[in-house]
Amino acid sequence: MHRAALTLLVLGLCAVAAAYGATLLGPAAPLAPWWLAAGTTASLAGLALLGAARRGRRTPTLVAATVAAFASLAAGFFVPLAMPAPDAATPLLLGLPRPTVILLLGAGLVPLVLLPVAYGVAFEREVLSPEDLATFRARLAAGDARAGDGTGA
Amino acid sequence: MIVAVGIAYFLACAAIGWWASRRTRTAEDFFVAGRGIGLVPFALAAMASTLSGFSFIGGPGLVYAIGMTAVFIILCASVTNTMGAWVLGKRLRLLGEARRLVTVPDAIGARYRSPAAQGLSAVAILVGIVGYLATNLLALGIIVDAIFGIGLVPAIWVGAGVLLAYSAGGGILAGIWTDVFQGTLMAVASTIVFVFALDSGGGLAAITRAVQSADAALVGPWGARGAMVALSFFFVFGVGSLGQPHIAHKYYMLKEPRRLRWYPALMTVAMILAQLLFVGVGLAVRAMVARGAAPPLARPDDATPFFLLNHVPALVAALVFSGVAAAIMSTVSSFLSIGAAAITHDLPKAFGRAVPASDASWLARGRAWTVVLCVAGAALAQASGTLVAFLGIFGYGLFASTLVPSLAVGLNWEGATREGAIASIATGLALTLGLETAAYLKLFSLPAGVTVTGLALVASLLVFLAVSFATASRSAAQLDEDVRTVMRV
Repeated sequence: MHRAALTLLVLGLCAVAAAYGATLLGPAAPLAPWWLAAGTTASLAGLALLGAARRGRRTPTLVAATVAAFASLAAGFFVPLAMPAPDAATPLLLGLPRPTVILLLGAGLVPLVLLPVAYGVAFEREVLSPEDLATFRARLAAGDARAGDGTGA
Repeated sequence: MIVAVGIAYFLACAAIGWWASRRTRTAEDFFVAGRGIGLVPFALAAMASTLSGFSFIGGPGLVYAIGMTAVFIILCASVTNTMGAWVLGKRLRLLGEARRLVTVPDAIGARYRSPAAQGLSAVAILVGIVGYLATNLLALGIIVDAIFGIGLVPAIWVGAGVLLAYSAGGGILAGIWTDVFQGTLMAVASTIVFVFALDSGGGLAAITRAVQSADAALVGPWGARGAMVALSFFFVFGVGSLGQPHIAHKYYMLKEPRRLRWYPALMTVAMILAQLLFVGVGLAVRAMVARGAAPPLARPDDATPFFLLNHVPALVAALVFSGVAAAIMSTVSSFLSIGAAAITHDLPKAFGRAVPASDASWLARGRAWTVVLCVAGAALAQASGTLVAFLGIFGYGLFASTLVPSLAVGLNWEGATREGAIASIATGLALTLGLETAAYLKLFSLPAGVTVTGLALVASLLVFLAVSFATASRSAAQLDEDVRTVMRV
């Protein structure tokens, strides 16, 4: 999973660089916001997957939450980009123009709720169980003991 | 009323500082609160340190001026609240326990077994802190002057004096507990003002229609500045949040690493409440101006003071003014602590003069440097407005471009190398300082949507990855066994 996360991160950063480059070359670059939306989503998703990855262990809940949250983020960016700019005649939804509500739900509310809940729910199995912590502390203690004996690094 | 609440607030901060200073006996107490902070104070302190005066004054002003575009600065909290714990929290907390780490550069030095990377990141932090301290102490002076009417320069020194009363005595322990008090105050004040903002505008739909009558783009999905600027805010503040040392540093202080479990959820609730004012006041005041119920503001930053002084009861206004001071002071106290640690710990360590945590003189030097940094920041805050504004601009960007690669990527990828870390920190430093200075001197300007911070962040991350891949054969030999254990837990 590290490889997939790093690939996503690199692709995302390249997309952001392309968006900035296109804007620097000509401020009216019509595709630049699309590149920036894709790059921002991919970069953050890559970092999230990197954080969720554990060597030799599966983290299905965290991965699923990452995929769902960042798919929602992408939809929250791309759908309003594809819609015409709202004017004073645009119907309101929940007190705001529809494209704004889609953005706030997709890029705001869904990941805002999904990610912390997934982290809390998956914590025992996929982040840090009591056994993980005990093993970690035992290894540290063993390392300290070896170092004290002059037998370890 | 405002003066009475202001005095009560400052006395409460000083009292917490006095209490904490009696419990600060070692350098570990001073710099990492004795590694004994529970979940709720930890989350509230992280929230309070994340938000500065910008959230209460500059942010609502920006919403007033450019509408939804400004909301993207806080919208990225939808992912960053959790990603901090997810990407950094566990690794930093465990690495701190394994090595008794005190600072963020400590983690970089341990991860890459590199005093040079530690020293370089400490220099980046110090440079960024200078700007943050000056701008925040200036903002604090403006608020103290607004409350007590004593003039800007005396107000800067009164604010700095109260800060020192708790920061120099109680260090980060005092900072954490004043943050808890201040964070609670900020969340309560923000929520109350949001309700008043909606009520004064006749509800969200009425506010939207009024704002649309002036400029429909303001409440469109991207705001008045368009999609490039809005998305650039999301990228810079989203990815950049993983490199803010005053937040990352707090992970060392958590009593038990398993308490991280519900930290993102708690942080999310606290942040939502504390950020309501950011959006609500800016839009409500803009609607009032569009309806002719209020005169156009001379400056966008007047949005919050105008609303507080004209549309909420005096007690609520007093609470919010104290909340603004709280937001600024909690951020400044965190920076004073990490700045003093960088000078007394990271830089000596980079030059081979590591100071043991048991060294009693370290605590004294930490306190002394806290005073020096605060006095220097206050003196700088009196300088010309454009210089202070310039110094403040690059703080966030400098932290982001120098620390995100080696921390957020490096702590989660065993293939990252020392060479990659040093190259990325140097790239971030050089690009941010060089381009920001050139822009300040008007040697060039960037089109809307492209920022120096964004460019430097992308460049430093790509340099980090490219150099690490190019030197991949050295990565395994650069990882100490205990660090490898931390990265595999």
